[in-house]
Amino acid sequence: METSAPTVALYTKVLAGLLLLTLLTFVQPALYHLSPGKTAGLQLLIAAMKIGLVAAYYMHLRSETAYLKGYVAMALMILLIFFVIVGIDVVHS
Amino acid sequence: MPSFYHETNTVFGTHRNPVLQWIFTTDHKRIALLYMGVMFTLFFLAVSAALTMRAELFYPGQQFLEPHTYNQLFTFHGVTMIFLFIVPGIAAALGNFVLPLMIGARDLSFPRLNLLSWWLYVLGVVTALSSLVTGNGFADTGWTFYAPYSIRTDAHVLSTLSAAFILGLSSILTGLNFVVTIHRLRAPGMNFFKMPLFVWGLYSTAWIQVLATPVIGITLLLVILERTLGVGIFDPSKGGDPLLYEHLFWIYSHPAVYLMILPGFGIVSEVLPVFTRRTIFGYRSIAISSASIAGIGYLVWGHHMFTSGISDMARVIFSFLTFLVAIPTGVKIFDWVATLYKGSIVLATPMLWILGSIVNFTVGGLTGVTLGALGADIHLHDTYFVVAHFHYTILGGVIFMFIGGLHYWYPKITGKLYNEVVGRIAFGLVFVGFNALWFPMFIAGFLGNPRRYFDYLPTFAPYHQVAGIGGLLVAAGLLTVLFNFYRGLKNGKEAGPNPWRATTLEWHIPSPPPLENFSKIPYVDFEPYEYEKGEPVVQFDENFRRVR
Amino acid sequence: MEQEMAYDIQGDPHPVADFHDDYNGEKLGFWVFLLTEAMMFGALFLLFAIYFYRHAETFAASSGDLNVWLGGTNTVILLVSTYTMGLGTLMMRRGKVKASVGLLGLTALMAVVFLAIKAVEWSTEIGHGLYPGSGVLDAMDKGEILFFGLYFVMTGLHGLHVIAGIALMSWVMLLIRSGGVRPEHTIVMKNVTLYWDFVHLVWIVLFPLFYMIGV
Repeated sequence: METSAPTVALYTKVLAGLLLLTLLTFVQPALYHLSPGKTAGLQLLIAAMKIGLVAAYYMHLRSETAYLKGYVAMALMILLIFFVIVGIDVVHS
Repeated sequence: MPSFYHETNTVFGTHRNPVLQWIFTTDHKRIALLYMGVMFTLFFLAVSAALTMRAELFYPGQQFLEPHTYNQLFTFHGVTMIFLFIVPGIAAALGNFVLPLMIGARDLSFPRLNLLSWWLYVLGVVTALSSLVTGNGFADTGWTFYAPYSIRTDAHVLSTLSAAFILGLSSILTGLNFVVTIHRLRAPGMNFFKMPLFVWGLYSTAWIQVLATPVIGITLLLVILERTLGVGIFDPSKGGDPLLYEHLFWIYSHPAVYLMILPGFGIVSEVLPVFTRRTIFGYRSIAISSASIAGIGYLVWGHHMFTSGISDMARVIFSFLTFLVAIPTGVKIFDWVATLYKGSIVLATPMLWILGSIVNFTVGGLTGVTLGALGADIHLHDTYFVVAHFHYTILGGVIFMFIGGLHYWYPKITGKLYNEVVGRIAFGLVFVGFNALWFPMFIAGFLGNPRRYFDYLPTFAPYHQVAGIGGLLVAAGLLTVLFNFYRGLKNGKEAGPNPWRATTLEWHIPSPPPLENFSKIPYVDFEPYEYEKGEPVVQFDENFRRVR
Repeated sequence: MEQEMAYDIQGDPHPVADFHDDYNGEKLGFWVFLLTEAMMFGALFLLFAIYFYRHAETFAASSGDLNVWLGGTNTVILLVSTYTMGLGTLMMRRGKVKASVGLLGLTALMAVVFLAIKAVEWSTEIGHGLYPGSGVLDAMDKGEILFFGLYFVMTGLHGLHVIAGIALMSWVMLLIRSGGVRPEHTIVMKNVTLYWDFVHLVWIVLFPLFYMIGV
């Protein structure tokens, strides 16, 4: 069971945060003109923050059981390992 | 008391038509039998394909098959055995039946999803088999569908790919169902480390089904899109990289083999205590090793690609990780041997199959480690050595464990006993035949006999001939098992609830079980394999309250 | 339904889980399903990452061919739609059924607008010959072929998930009418909300990778 009931105020605060981050996504290339690779990296960083907010508050992961958080982390870890190992192979090819 | 054969729950309301009562059932026990029926029909079809190949290969040179047909046969054999039989495998057939019984539940968490899984499975089967009679004939790409050939070949690859995708969905839903069931429906008092080891095996398997299958799903979908729309993801002429196909394919297909063996290992851990009349040695280490095998199994896929052109760095990493994954399996085998030591060994038919599987799997596993060594693999890749390795692990391991499990739970499922003498004879035929069939292939492969070729150099003929005889013995043995099971159904003795005097929960309810499994759910505050002086410790009264 | 009990050796009762009405079980099951979706999209992002690494400049140039304004508008629309969806579920739990249905409808509407804008984008690109298998695309640089191949596959798959989302929302509306979703029994609506959040998560990664690298 969720430990704290969400409120409209919480959802709205998160919306504001997400809109701000989205604005940042739009203006970043104009603020910092970077190579495609670095742009992607920075954009993904902003995306990661948005994902964190959505997952923690809109999807209520923050108030879920340790089990569930663990499973989400496990799946993401496995995905990450795929990226890392295939990445190592591609970089060294 | 009526059994689940007499009454059932169905989706879409009640039916009086017995056929509808089977194909629309939501009862996990009936669904398990539905899976078994289809799966074993396909198994025998795939065995026939194998025997046909062995017949062609009995002498060098062409006997009666065209080379193209041979390619289709080994593709058919692989696709059927892997996607249609062994991936649903023990989990769908025995797991569905036994899991709720073992944890003290009345069904899985999502019974209707379970039925959907079966329906998707049937759809996948029909789609796969349809390509036998449509288009340019069955796929000839091998069950691995490597790009770019799979993108270019004329053969009817689309239906096989679609079938594999649908079957993947079925597998994912079953895995999801098992994960939630094991989390939510364990009887009160049964914490994770009081679960039977078969349940641990099914749990680890379920996570592999859930996390690995989507990767191959999307990969096969991409090949379908390549063939139909010309997308270009794996097509070198459009900048695509066939090696990335192999990476994604094996990212699923390697964990898939752990998905095949882990329930089998679970069966071994169930059968050994019963037929040594003592508790299993090292319960916790076996449980944790199941989870470890699942976990580390995600990391080793590249050992299928050592000769495909991956970087040296990747090769070293994968070889190291491959050696690592052998360790938890070694732990299990050690625990099993320790269970046998000073146990009162009963060589009943299930036990014979299980002991045979441990012998076979040890050979298969060790040759896997050999293949994991980079230098050796360069020589052995794409030879019969590899084929022998995986037949020792999958046929000698998983199928032996599967058949052992079928014998073990046969009384629970049918309420009858099969003939023990016939059972032992069948085992003997299959065990001898299997080793005659596949051991020569290690040697032939080592000496250079390539795989997936419809012909071979005359020097290899003796190996193929011994293998051919072995294949016939295996077929004879398998038919004997079938005959034994059939006769047991017709004329077998009544089994009663606990013919083996075993300890896990399923043996405390009638054989065959009633629709709702347990009249009362017991409270479980005991270990799964408690024996004292060779007899089960825990006993229940008729209200499922513990009396001892 | 009366709570079933199991009795231990002392005679104390312990509640037995009932799979017929298991909020936590149904939520766990849906999360497991979302993890499978994550693995599926993850594999696609893996392919994107490799090909982007190999063809960074060409990918950036191709990205410039996409309409950032339309893509950006869609980003905001999807974002706001997850807000309305979440509020919809919140209102249902609080018993405010009418507000819940209104918010649900608003969410579905925004999803439809998202698809419409996507359709406009796609038809523009297809009109320029930039689609998989076209003679125009196949004659271009390998990096461009790969970019547009991935673009259509990934936004296409995402779009399919949006369509499924609209279907699910419609189903929830029917369930609200029939009582299958009501303030005491919200798990289906809660799960559809989780689904919609996930669809948004995929877009959060998709948008910058396809649209922003070429700005």
